[in-house]
Amino acid sequence: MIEDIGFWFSYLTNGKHLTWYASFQFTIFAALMGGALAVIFGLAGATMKNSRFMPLRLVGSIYSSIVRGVPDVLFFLFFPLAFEQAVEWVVATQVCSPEAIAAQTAAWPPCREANWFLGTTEYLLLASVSLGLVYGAFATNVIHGALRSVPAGQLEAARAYGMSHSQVLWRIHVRQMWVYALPGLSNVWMLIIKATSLLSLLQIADIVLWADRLGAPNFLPAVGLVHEDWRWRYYLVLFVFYILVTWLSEKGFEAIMRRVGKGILSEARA
Amino acid sequence: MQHASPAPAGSSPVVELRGLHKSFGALEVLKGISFAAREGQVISLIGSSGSGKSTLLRCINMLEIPDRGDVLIDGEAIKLRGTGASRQIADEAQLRRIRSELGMVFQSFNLWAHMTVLQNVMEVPLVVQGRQRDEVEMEARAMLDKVGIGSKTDAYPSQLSGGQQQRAAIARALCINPRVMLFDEPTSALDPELEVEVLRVIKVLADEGRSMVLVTHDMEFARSVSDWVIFLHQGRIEEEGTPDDVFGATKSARLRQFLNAANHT
Amino acid sequence: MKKIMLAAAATLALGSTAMAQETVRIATEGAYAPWNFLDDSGNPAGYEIELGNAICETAGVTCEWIINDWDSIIPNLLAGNYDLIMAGMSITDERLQTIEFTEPYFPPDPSKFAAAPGASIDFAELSGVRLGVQSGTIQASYAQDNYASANTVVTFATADQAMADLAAGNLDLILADGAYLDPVVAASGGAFEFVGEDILIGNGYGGGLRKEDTELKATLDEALAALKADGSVDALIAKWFDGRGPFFAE
Repeated sequence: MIEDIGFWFSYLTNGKHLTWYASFQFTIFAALMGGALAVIFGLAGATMKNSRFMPLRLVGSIYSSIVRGVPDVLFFLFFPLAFEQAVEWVVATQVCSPEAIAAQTAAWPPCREANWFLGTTEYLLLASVSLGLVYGAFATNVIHGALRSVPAGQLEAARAYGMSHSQVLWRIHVRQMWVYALPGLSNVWMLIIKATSLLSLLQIADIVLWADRLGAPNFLPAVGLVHEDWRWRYYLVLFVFYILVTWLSEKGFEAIMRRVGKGILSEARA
Repeated sequence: MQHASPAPAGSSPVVELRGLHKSFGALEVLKGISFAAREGQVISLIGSSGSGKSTLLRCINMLEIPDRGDVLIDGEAIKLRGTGASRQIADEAQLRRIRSELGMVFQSFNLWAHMTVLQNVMEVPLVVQGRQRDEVEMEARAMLDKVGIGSKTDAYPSQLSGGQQQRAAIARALCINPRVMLFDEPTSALDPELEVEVLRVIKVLADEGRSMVLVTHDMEFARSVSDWVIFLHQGRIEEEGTPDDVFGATKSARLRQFLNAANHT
Repeated sequence: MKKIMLAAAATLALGSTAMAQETVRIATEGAYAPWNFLDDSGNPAGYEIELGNAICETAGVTCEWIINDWDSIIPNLLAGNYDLIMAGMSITDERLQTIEFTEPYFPPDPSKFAAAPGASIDFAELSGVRLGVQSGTIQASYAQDNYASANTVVTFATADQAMADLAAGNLDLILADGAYLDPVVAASGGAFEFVGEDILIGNGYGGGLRKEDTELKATLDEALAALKADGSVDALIAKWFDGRGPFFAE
């Protein structure tokens, strides 16, 4: 019995498993960073949609309506690749000599000096930006609607007392907007959390990839513990993780809601 | 009760309107209105709904921009550019400075819902006027005591009755040390029993000699509080004068008709 | 993994011409035991790792291992993310059109069929069978060319996943490198068995290189030849493949 516990303990704490546990940081980072960027893009998008300047309004509307329709998986693959190649193209115009271009056998990049090797850090940032862009389009809609829900009389009062545009915007409008936006933003956040399971598509050794590797059947003692297909056990751990994150997020949003909703929520209820 | 008296030579009226016109689309709401309110004067604007009295009040602090005509506060004209419907504010900084001295009280209170009563009252002095927090807080508490809700400083607007909210809104207007108070039907949204407490506060302020422009549907109150009464009809001043003249010796048939109707409601 | 990450970042900073630097970056899949896999501590291990390190030592260069998915292992070589592939890759004419190979470091090895015990499969007229292969392998293209019309060819990202599906009964048959299947079938305790005839495809296993890196190829081939001559390569094959061949020495 004791031996069993010892065996499982050392199995579950071997280097592979420790790397798996450590890889949770990628998922958490991508979710937090993606969420923050989504709010920033959402605020920018909603501001553009409310702009008095026609072209900006158009950009805001196009962003929120088009990007919302693009499947996140597709954007996840498209954006980092397009960004990488764009950077390489720009670099290539600077560093590639004609000889280097002639020597290059691959179709891309134009010369080997222009190649940008994307490691985990770069991919993680690009993944976060992708999440931010895709879900920022949803946040744009949520925030746009929430901005319109703030009672117009309170904004007028602020103007009537001599507040500047930005004071009205930040001290009254955006401050109260959160109350109306939070339920929608919490949905967007849940979608972002779900989308973090796509990280392995970008060569990031994330929790899903490691669950796959650890769960894959092993037939050779030389490689490690011989076991059959255990992937479902590892996936089960991921389920529990995601459910835990969802539960914590709900608690978190409730707490934020209580804070920013002071005075407004009771009014809405009354 | 004070009576309208000629302005001392050389001093400008607190509020002066010169030939204001305003249209909403094809509908001309103001058709050339002029009047002046001197320091300490209480002017009531009366008239049926649609007579343009609220629009006129909202032109004073440019919540509505008049298509033609000028608004002067303490002799300083609010700068506008363009003409007609596309007329715009020419100097935002000037407008913000002037607005921060006009204490507007709205029909629907418009207190900021996310702030406590005290924060509502302190917001403009701190943020717009840039005054010292300690001094502002002392003054704000004093104002709240004065309007009778000194015990509600930490409550949120939603936790107050309508009458209490409107009194808090009056305290908010008072705390900016306004040159003039602008009341836009301050009791229309209130039940009759709550109306009284708000009217009492306004009466106290009038008796203190504060300059006020008041839009009201309450003829009795207008008579008791005003130095000068202006009756608007279809965008024009139909009749104006001291309360005794306007209510006691009515000249215009339309005003007589309006007052009769008002008495019967 | 972290080490690999940091190393990757460092090489990015240093620039990426292979011969200008002392370090040769080698990509492997890390999921093809015993050629290459991740050991319990999560580091690359296996026949190719030991052989690669030996080659580098002999050639006097530093080696650095990078884990890369099998599917993108050739494109990323061409892009310059690393300089050499050692990932159980067979030398084929098709691949030689895009990349260069070192001399083989593992002799040609027959591909084999494996199935669950007792399965009756008619190899004379193979039809209606679910056949599993790893995508992008010589077996995958062979199966596509020869069996796809009458059977269902199912491709997997890794060989282990294909084995898992065979064990689960989702597949009738697997076609894979004999040297990969040998230890798996032996260790399966009767869960799998070899069926049908072996097929010889491919010309042995070699290290994949960019065509223009002729200098690197020469360096590596020279070191490999020396290791073959002194029996080190055969010793490593014996070590990692349970004493079974195939060996270079006859």
